[in-house]
Amino acid sequence: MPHFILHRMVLPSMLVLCLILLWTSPALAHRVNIFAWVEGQTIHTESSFVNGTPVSGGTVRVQEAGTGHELLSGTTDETGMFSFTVPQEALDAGLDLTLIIEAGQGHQAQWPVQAEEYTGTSSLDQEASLAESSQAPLPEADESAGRASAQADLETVIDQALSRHLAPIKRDLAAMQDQGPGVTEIIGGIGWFVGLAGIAAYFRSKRSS
Amino acid sequence: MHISEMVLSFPVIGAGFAATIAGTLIGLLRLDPDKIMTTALLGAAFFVASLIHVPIGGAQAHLLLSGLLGFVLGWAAFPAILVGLVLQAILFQYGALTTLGVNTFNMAFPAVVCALTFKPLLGKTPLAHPVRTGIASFLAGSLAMIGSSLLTALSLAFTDEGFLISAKVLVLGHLPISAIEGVITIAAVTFLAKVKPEALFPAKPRPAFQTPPLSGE
Repeated sequence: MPHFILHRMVLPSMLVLCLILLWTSPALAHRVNIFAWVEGQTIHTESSFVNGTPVSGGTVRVQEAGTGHELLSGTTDETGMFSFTVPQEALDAGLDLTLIIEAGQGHQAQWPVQAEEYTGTSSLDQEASLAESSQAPLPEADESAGRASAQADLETVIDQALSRHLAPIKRDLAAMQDQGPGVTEIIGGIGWFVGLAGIAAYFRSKRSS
Repeated sequence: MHISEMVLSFPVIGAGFAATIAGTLIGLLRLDPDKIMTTALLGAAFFVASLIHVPIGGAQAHLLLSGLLGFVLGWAAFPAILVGLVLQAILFQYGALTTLGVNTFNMAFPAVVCALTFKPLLGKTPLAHPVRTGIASFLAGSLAMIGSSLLTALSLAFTDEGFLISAKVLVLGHLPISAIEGVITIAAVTFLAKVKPEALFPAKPRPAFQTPPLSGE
């Protein structure tokens, strides 16, 4: 009885399919993300797949942006984190960095870190303070220097506090950018297939008529 | 199995595009006009199925349905998978446009090879031999996936990871899901053989080169 056998085969396999669909959330995906935030002169990185699974044992490469010159590399722990102190070479030259995560099996992603994020001062500020100090008249030099250093200390403290408080927000922003496929995109994709088939059918019918 | 941007070297990317263009041309030239809609629907099925990711161990695997696409579409699996991957790359940044050639070839070529190998086993009346049909469908579904894993590993052979490590991780990671894929292919093929046999076999043998090639546009 082939019909019987067929029914016996179709039903269990459909069950298996249903189970798979139940086990997995639609947000699962085959893409890797890396996100980095700066705290003082330490850069923390976090790498995960789109569904939130951390990349454990992935390689993080820290390169100079543009040239691809590698400054250092490291391995992510089981939570997908890898932290490093900005190398002196990058500090001195004020290099923009590119962080690359290699998650294996051809999965790779990158995240840029601008020099201003870890030097704490943008080049504009440095110029301004230089101009200020050169203009300062001699008798008031001590007082002005003291005020400047107090101000610099304050700025450092504020910068550190800000970066600490902003890190989670930046992280959330990055996570928002990397949301998995939504219903809109999936249905849109299916629509593309139907549309392409329509175009193909149209040209075929024109040729045959 | 979607290789990301910047991973591959230029020769590998170039070879991938060349092979994919060749496969897609063959697929389009041999496409039966009556099968345009079937091709689109199966392409859509591939597009959706490979979005569903199953965590296996530490790795993630996803269904491909490529074996089924090969069975029903033959060489037309190439254009169907190509469109699916283009959409995935643009909409979700899975894979990348630069690796499109390599990824398409990796997923479509094993599907076509498996179909050419195992479809003759179906014979003229697949329903009369359910066990033989089941085995052929299972092998086509699961081996297409294993073949894709091996080709992906081969593409990564020239990176730091090397062929052997990639192959081990990829093939082992895909073993369980390839079994699931085999079972789904059995279900789909037997279902098609029952309700829509002309999807598996063209109703009448199509005269060769009756339709002019696409290049006439």
